[in-house]
Amino acid sequence: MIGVYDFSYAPYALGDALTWTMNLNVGAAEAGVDAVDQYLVIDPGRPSSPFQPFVDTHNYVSIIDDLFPAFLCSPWLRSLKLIRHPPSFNLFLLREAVRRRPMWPSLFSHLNRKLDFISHRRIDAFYAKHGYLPWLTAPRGYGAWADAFRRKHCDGRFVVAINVRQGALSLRPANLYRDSPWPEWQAFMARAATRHPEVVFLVLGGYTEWDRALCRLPNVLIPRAMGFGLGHELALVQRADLFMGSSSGFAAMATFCNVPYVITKIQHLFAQYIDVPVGGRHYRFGNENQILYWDTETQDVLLDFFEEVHERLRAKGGS
Amino acid sequence: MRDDFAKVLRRWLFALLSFGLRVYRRLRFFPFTLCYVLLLSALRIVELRRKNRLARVGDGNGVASLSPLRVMMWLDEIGRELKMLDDIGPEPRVRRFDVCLKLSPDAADANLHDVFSVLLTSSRLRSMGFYWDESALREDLPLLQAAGDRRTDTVWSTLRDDLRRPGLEACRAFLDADHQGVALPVAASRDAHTLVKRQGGAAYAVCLNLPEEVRWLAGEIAATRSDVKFFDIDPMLSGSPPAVAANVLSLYAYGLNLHERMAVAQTTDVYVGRFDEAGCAALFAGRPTVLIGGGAAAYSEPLSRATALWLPDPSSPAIRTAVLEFLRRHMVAAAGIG
Repeated sequence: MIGVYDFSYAPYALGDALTWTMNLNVGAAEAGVDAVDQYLVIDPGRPSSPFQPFVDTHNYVSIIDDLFPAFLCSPWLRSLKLIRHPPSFNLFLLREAVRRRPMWPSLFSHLNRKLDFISHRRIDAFYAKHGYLPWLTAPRGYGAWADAFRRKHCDGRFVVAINVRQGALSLRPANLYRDSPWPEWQAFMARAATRHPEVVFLVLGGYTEWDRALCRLPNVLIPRAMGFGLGHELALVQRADLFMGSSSGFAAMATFCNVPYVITKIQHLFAQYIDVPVGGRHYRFGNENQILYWDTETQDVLLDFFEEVHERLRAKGGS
Repeated sequence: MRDDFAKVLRRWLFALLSFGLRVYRRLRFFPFTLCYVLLLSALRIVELRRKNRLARVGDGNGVASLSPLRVMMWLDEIGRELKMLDDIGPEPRVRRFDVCLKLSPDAADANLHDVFSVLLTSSRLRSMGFYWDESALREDLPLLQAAGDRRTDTVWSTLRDDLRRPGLEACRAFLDADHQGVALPVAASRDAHTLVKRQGGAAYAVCLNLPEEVRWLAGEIAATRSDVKFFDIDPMLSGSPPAVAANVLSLYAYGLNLHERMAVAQTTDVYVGRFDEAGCAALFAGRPTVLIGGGAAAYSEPLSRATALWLPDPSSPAIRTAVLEFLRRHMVAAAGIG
C-alpha cells in the first residue's frame, strides 16, 4: 500500500495526518497487504497549500519537525520517505503506478491534487463490511517507552490523557472559535483530584497551550514540560485508560487507536463528514465508552462523563 | 560552430522546459500533471544514467536504537566530502543529496524523532528515507543511486555506511575536521538569541548539558565562576533534579525540542556537556566546546584542540580542573586580555 501526503495540497495538521494514516490502514486491510510505504512530499519553495499561507519557506522545517511522529502510527509501516524535491518524487510515483499498487489518495486524485483528509467515509464503509478496523498504534519505537512512563510516573493509577484545544495560545493561531473553555477543564481536573485521588491526568499539547496553574494540581503530569515531544504524547494516548479532550488532533488519535474517549465541542459542520447527526453520541464504529459531545463543555458535563466512563471501565476491569 | 549550436540548442531546451514548468504551475490538474510526471521521470532517469545523483545509505546494522549523534556525524562527513567536490571536483557539481537509513524492525527506543530532527538540519539534503525492511530499501535504491557505480573510496560510494557507535579514530577525525555547520529553523535560532540576550545580558554565557555522572559539576563551576551566566539545557529525561544556583538558568521544564536546544548551544559563548547533538551543534558553530563522555568506551585520555576539548571519561578526577581552566582560557581570550 502506498501513501502519498503531498503538502502542496494536504494540510499540516495532526488530526488530518492521523486520519490519512487511518485511511491508509483501511486501504491496506482492504487490499490484503501488510506493508505500507509512505511518501511525504514538500516543495521548500512553496511548502503549503493556499489554505495555510502561514507555512512558508522559513518555517516549514519547524512545522514538519513538530508533526513527524504522526506519520509513524501505522502498524504496517515498512518505509517512510520525506522528499523535499517534488520532481524527484515523480519517478517513485510512476513506478508505483506501473506496478498498480493500491494508493491513498488514488493516482488520479493525486494528479488532481485532491485528498479527502477529513471524512470517515472509507473507514465507516470498511467497518460496516468487516465489523472491525485496523487501528493505529503508538508511533514506531515509542510504545515500550509509554509503558515504562506509566510504570515510573503513574504507579498503577487510572490514566486520563487530556488535550484542550487552545488555538489562541498556539504558535500558529487558527480557527479560534474551536477552542474549549480552559477554566472549565481546570476546574474539572481540580474536582476530580478530590473525588478520585487514584486518577492521574496527562495534559498533552504544545508547550504554550496550557495554563501554568496546572502545575499546582496534585494529579496532573505535563509530558512536554518533562522534555518529551509529540511522539511520546501519541504513545501515551494509545496507552491511556481514557482520553478526554476537544475535537482536535489528539482526539483523532484517540478515535483511531480505539481507547475509551470523551470528545467535546465537535463542530456541527463535521457531522456531514462522519455520517453522524449533530448530537449523535458515538461514531459509527464507536462503543459505549467512546462518547461524542457536540456542545461547549462545562466542568459538570466533564465530571459526569468522566465518572460514567470511569465507573464502567472500573467495573469491567474488576469483573 | 558545433559548440555554438549545442549551446543555442541547450538554451532553447532550457527555455522550453521553464515555460513548461510555468504552464504546469497554472494547470495543476489531470492530464497536465500526468505529462509533468512523465517528463520529470524521464529527466530523472537521464540524471541517474549520467551518475550525477548522490544517495548515501546508512545502516544501523541491527542496533535497536540509531544514535542521532552518529547520524549528525555522518551528515557532517558527507557535507565535508561534498565541499571538497565543490572546491576541486569534477563537473557537474552535486548541490544536494539523498540519504536512506536502514533501521531495525525491532527498534524499541523512542528517538526516531530526534534522528529526523537532525536530518532536517542539513540544507543540502533533498530526501530522506527510513526503512524497516531490507526489501523496501533494495526496491528504492535503483531510483536513487546510479546502477553499477562502486567508487568505494569517494563520496559516490554505494556501499552502506556503518551507523553504529563510532570508534576512537572516527571521533578524533571528527573533532579535527572542518565542519560544514547545520541549518537550524529560524524560529529556534531567534528564540535562543532572545533568551540568552534577556537572561544573560552582557555576561559571558555558558551552555551546560552535563551527563548524569557529572551533574555535580554544574554547582561547582557555577560557584567558582559567579561572573558567568549558565544555561542548563539538560532535558532531564533521566529524572535527576535540576542544579540550583543563582547564575544557573535551568531550561528543564521549558519544553525545548532538539532544534531549540541545539540553538541555545550555538548561541552561548561556550558549551560544556555531553558529546551529543547539542555538543556537535556548538562545535559546528565554532564555539569553544568541552565534550564530556560519549565516543569510545575504552579510551579515557583527554583530547585537546584549539577550540575543543574532549574528556571521554566522565569519572576522571581531573574533570573539574580541566573544565575551569578551559573556561578561564577562553574568557580571557574573549575579553581580549590574553
